[in-house]
Amino acid sequence: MSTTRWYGLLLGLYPRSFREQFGAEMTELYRQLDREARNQGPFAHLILAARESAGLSTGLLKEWCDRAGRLRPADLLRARHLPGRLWGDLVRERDTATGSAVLGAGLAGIFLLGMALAQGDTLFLWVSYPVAALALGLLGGTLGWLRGGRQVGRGRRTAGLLLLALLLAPSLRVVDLAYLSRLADEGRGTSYAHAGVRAEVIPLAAEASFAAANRRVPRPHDGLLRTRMVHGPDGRGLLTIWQRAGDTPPYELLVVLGCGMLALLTHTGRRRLSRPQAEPSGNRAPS
Amino acid sequence: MGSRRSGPAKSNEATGGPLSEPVFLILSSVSDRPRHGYAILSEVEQLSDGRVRLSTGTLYGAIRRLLEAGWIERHDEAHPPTGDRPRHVYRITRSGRSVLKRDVDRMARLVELGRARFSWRAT
Repeated sequence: MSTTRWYGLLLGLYPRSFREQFGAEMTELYRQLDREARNQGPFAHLILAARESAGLSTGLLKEWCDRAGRLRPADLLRARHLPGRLWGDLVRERDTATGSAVLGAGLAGIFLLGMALAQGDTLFLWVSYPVAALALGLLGGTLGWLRGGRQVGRGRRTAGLLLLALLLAPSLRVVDLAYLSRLADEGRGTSYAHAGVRAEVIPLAAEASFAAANRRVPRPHDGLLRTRMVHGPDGRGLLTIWQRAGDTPPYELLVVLGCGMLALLTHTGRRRLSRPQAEPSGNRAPS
Repeated sequence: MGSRRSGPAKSNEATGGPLSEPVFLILSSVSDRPRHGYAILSEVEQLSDGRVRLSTGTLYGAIRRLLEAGWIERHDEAHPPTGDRPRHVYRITRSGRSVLKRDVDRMARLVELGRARFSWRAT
């Protein structure tokens, strides 16, 4: 691999806004430095490549940290919707049938991989959720298409999110299933694991459908609430919790109160967001 | 420019503290006339007698923050070399110049203090 290509790869890891503003200029400058260094010999060329690699690596860390430092509490609070956003926003904001179909297929892959890793032992577990996920993806995509047309060009971001989910979800799923199976009695461990997976699929699918239909998604987030309940200390899974709906233990009450607080804080943050932003001051300082 | 939802993290410079050496040298290099990236790198190296050699990552990271702080401005080069694409040049702003002057004054006071203390010890 040439050093210019290596430089381009490292540059590609910078935040997009930075690359758009300086990427071409930096690449051009690096090419110029590279030509000079080649004329001075292989050692100078090696020194330049090492210095630029180190500079770019530390620079990109600094840029990302700088961006992370700008997050406000409202941004962090919104992160609790990340699981829902992996699905819901793709339908709501992309309005892309392709994106949703890709996501649906990806979810199918996630569940397949998760189940394979968790060594699910029934055919139903292996087949039903991938198919259901694919069907829901197609449904969300169709609703999105009916609502707002197609923006296939945004498929790249969809693919990026999908890759992230593919990396994260199987390991989470293993923990999820193992935890539930351990808590449940041996004979019915699989059933509880089954319920746990469903508890996470149903809210996501509901959110996707609501989002695609341009309706307000109910809050507090059902997925968060139900998933938490599944992981409750009694270990009886979603079905048990539903059966004991009239008898809420303190842990679940805390979850409900926590969700309410988060929702309240988020709404406060949104109101603050809607105020006009001040122009950037000339006294901001670089670090 | 990237997101401007809020400013960069507070640093020593934001509170009137000393400028870091790369920032000081970059500001100094564009203080007499506008310069593009390559010229800034060369000028910084020359100003520091070859001691400071910035990488492009360090240079443009600093430039991004200086632009955001409003201490330098970015323009297209007025007369690019024949056959070349127009490049961006950077020049210091009034607020950048006052920051640079403040830092030079601060260092001058330190040097004065150091010299006074050194001569006192020597006697």
